[in-house]
Amino acid sequence: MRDDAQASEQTEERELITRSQGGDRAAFNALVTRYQGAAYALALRMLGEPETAADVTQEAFLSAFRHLGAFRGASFRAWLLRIVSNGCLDIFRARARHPTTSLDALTEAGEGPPTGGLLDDGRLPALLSDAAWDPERAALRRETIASIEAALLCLPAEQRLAVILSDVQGLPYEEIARVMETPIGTVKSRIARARAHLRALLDARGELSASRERHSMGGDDEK
Amino acid sequence: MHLDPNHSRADWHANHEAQRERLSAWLDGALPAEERAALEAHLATCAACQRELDGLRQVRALLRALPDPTPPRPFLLPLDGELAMPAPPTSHIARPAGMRVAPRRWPRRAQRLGGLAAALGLALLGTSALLGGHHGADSAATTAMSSSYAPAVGAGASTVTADARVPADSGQQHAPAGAPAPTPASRTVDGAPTVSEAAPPFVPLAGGGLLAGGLILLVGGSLADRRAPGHTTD
Repeated sequence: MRDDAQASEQTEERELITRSQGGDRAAFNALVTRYQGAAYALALRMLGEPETAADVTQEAFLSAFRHLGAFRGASFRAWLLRIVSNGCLDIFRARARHPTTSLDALTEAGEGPPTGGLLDDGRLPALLSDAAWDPERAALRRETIASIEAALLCLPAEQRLAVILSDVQGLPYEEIARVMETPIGTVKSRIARARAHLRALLDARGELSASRERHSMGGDDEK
Repeated sequence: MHLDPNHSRADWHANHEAQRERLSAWLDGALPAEERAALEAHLATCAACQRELDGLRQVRALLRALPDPTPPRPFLLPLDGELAMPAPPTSHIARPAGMRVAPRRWPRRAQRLGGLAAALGLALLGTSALLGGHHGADSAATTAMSSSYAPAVGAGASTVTADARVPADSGQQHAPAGAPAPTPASRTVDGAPTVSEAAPPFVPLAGGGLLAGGLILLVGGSLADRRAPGHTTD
């Protein structure tokens, strides 16, 4: 049953894509509606700035619409998310070339990734304990969410992208490999490093017993 | 290193990062079958690995629990009229005077083609202004045209092929992402339409060429931009 439902959804999507390729904007808007949440979430988690993320997402959809004629693959989602992630990586490159200017702009806007001090000062709650969860709604507390978002922004871009696609978006490894245009082995490695890196960042108080073992397990977290 | 149940505990932990990667892949059900049994047998006896696994699992749970963010604006295309050009994302960054835009193949060729691209670019900017833009205050008239569109028209097929962009599926050709800086990716991102840093600003003229704008959409679309990722296996 599930496969049937998936198959018919795939067929429907194929139809939407075909019509969009013919210039049918309403059909394309059905695709926008379907994927804009994932696209924007990816951009936001990568960039940490809502307006910039919205710009990247908007441009990604425009670009996708214009270039749909060249889309041949099996997964529209992977293709779209690749455009979004490329947009984010472009921004990182641009800012890396002009770090002072970027920092000023970010400070003015009141947005941007936190400095290392935020996560090092030990004032964060032990995020990996039950206290992080709101007992009423089984949802994460606001401050926990903020901490996770901040920690994500401390990761190297490729690790961040891999773990967002995997754990926030729920993409399987194969699809992540397509989005990132890297072999699956690289995807596995980046996800593992990212998770370990996040855990180290979030485990501010070392309350987990696992953290005591960390020294015996720890390895290089770069890349 | 392929491990089996006969390996000693020391063997499993000889390479911490490799072991973590195995645990992480196991968590995602992505460990090859032959390794799965061996790892599970090891896990049954190894408290350290169990704790590592727990940590990985908890981080994954936290990420999965992140709420879906609400976009600050809609992304639907307008059903009629020209597609508005959004402000390039990097417009938020103030540019010091005399900043040299780092070389990117597309904008360079667009610049060399000068008049044609500029004229068509202006037309699109003009139509965008007429439509009132979709980005409100962000869409300043002096915002530079995103170079991902102008070159698609002006560059022409010959420069696209001469550009020889690396096909997206040849993953080996990408530079390793071990970037020295903490965040930026060091590899060249090819094959996908880029949301790129803007080329030096075109000075906008009043009024637009709706016809020219439409021509851009038509021609740009038909050039079937090599930069779209779909032209490779996907």
